[in-house]
Amino acid sequence: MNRALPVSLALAVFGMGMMQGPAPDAPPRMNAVAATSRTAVSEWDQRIAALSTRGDLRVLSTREDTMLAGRIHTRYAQVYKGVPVWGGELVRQEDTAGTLTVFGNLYEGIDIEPRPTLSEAAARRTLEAVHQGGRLFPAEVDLVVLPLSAEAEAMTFVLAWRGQILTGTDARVIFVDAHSGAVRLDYTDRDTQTAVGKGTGVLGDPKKMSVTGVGATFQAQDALRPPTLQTLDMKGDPLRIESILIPAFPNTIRPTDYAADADNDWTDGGVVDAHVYTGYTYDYYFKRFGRRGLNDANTPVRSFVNLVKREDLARNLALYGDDILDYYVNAFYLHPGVMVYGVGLPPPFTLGGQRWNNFAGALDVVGHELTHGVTRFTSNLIYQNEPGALNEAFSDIMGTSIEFYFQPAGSGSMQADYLAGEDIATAASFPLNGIRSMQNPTAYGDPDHYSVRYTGTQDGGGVHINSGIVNHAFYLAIEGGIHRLGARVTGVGAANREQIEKAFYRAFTAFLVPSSNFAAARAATIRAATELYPSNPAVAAAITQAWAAVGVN
Amino acid sequence: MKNPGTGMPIALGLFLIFASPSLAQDRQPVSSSTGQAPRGKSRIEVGLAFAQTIGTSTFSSSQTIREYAEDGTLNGSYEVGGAPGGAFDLQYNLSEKFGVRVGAEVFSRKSTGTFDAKVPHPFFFSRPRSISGTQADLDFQEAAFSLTGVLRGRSGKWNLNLEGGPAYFSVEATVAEKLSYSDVYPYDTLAFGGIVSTTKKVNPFGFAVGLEIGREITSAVSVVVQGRFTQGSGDIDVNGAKIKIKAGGARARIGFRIVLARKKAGA
Repeated sequence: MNRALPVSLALAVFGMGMMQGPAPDAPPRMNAVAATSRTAVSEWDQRIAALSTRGDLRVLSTREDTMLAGRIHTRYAQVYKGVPVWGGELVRQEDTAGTLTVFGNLYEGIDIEPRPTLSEAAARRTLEAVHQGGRLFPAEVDLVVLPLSAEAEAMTFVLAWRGQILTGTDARVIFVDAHSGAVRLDYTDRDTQTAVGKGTGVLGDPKKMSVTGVGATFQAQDALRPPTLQTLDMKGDPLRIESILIPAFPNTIRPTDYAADADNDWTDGGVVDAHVYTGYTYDYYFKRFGRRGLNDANTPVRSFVNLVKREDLARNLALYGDDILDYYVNAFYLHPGVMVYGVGLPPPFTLGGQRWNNFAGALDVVGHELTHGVTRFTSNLIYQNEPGALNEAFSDIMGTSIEFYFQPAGSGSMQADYLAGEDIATAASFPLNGIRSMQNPTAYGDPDHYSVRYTGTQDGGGVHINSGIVNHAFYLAIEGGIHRLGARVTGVGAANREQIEKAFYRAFTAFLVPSSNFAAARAATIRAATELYPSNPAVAAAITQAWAAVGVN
Repeated sequence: MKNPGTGMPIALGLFLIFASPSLAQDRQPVSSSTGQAPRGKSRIEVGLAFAQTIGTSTFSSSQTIREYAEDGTLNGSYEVGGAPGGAFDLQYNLSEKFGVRVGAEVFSRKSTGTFDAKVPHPFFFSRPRSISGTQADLDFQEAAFSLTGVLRGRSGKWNLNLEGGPAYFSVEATVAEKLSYSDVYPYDTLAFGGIVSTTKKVNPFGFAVGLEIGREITSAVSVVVQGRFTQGSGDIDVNGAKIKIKAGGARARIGFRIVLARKKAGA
């Protein structure tokens, strides 16, 4: 029997070199590889080359590093006489100078007959008989070498047919011995803690909550979307968030920090909307642009809610001063991936002539803040002056686009429009809902034309003010119309809003740099439209006209 | 249990069963003097036959499924295919023209289910995902027991029997309890992965009618060919949903009918 792989692996593990001739058979065991030193990675480079040449390692994938430029990650699968060894893999990280690390596990001492005596058809029948009503899905079964012990020194190997069986409530991965026909391993491949509950949002609307069952309760940890999306309930303790964020976040999160509900029928509107709308925002970016989260690599997002209690407003103001108002009437993004939502003001308090509800209750607000994360991971527009106004405008644009994606168009509560924050900032002495308008920025005191832009130093050089100019250009590119100063724009129409959204997204995430100004944004969005819709010049034309209408040329 | 449309055949069967003794006596006694079977032959016959169902039968289901905090639907349409089986009967001849038969037949059939479902979305209310698929080889075990009156006719070595009467069915049907599917983020579509099945039993009453032609090959043994039709239906409960199961159908049989020898006096 060919013992080449066990021998070579044993030699590799013990640093004896692979071409030094026969050696005693290695006992069956798993070798955990964690090579990070220059010497170790150099040795592993040679071993990987030799193992690959012998066919004992096979390249599974090669991917560029999405977080550190210039790095490549190559994943290798261990193979025994042509049969993959289940769980046997190495991952090598390289840059232009060579290998940086090698991690993984390789199995040694495999000595089995690699040709099955149990036919694939018989294996299929066995697999489907393990669980009543179970069906193979996908239909393929594959042959693997199955290591059979978690204890490295007491390991055996069997040749096994592996298949996934769906039972309706579970997805079982089952291994059938390819010689004896016995079931060797049967485990669930489905996160059994996944749970979907009901929730009632800030505005009393029903929603589904993707959460995690933990013991007898449910936690606001989304178990269905790819990234970690968690909502943490500070239970009115304004100091708790600092103790979580500052020392060693996220390891400082305690299980009791997660928003929880005993019956999976969630009634805290702030928790519900922060959690659900974070998921919606992820969904929008994925479905519209194929983007996977803030950094396009599923970086975690943790939302903090209930940092204070509304009824504690007076006491908190006395204790902490006006700074505490950020936890009442603001929502903000902390890089990377932390969202903080204000709870709003208790009646009858108003601010700026408006009543303020929990900030998590507005989908466009959630989308706006999370988009700041996207900006940080892409153009990283400097939060001052024109770049800062572009930063704010991109958040408004994406927040509004998310609203249009998930909500019906209209002017009522939880309806999509070109206002920002209209669902949580409602008219009192100030007659309008919301805090900004993309359709009519001047109604909120913001400029709608470059000629009347704010040039002072307040608000970071007018980041929340001059965003109105860019926002209005976005609005005109979609809806068209006549600018207040007379310029006519032929928009693509609401039904084609996706075209403008994509052009702006592409420009802001792929073409702009931290110091980009309005003129650069104009050029970038026109270019993006031309690239995306080469056979539909109307898109670029709409954007060109829109920028011209707001005085950006 | 109400079986629409079975009244006439059952009435015919009951008529044949209960009316036949008097008819026999009135018209054609087996023996003009004693009413007994011809010398050397018993009144009892045994039938053994290979049977084959003809055609298919169908039934359907409509269920509510609870997923992701919301109700969805699972509809199934089952077509039960033909299958070979076996039949046995015991017949007591009241006269040359009339008899009573107790029969049993067993079939191991397979059904194919066609399913369509609306499965709730994990993230949104009122945005169900549609899925459809087919699952073959679902078991449908069927046994039928009948008590029929037999009208007998004879011409030379040829026999002609007409029977009819009530029937009792025992059906074990494998049906869908849930759907197996796979979905991946963003969960807007599903891939059909089959069903999670459950096997349910139902015992409906119905009727059986048949026409049999036999050819004597010896004085005690005949080769018989029979056409038969049985029907019954009953409900099974799957997760609170009623599914009406249809049993029976047309069958063709071929086999033997054996007249048991009568014991000789003093033997």
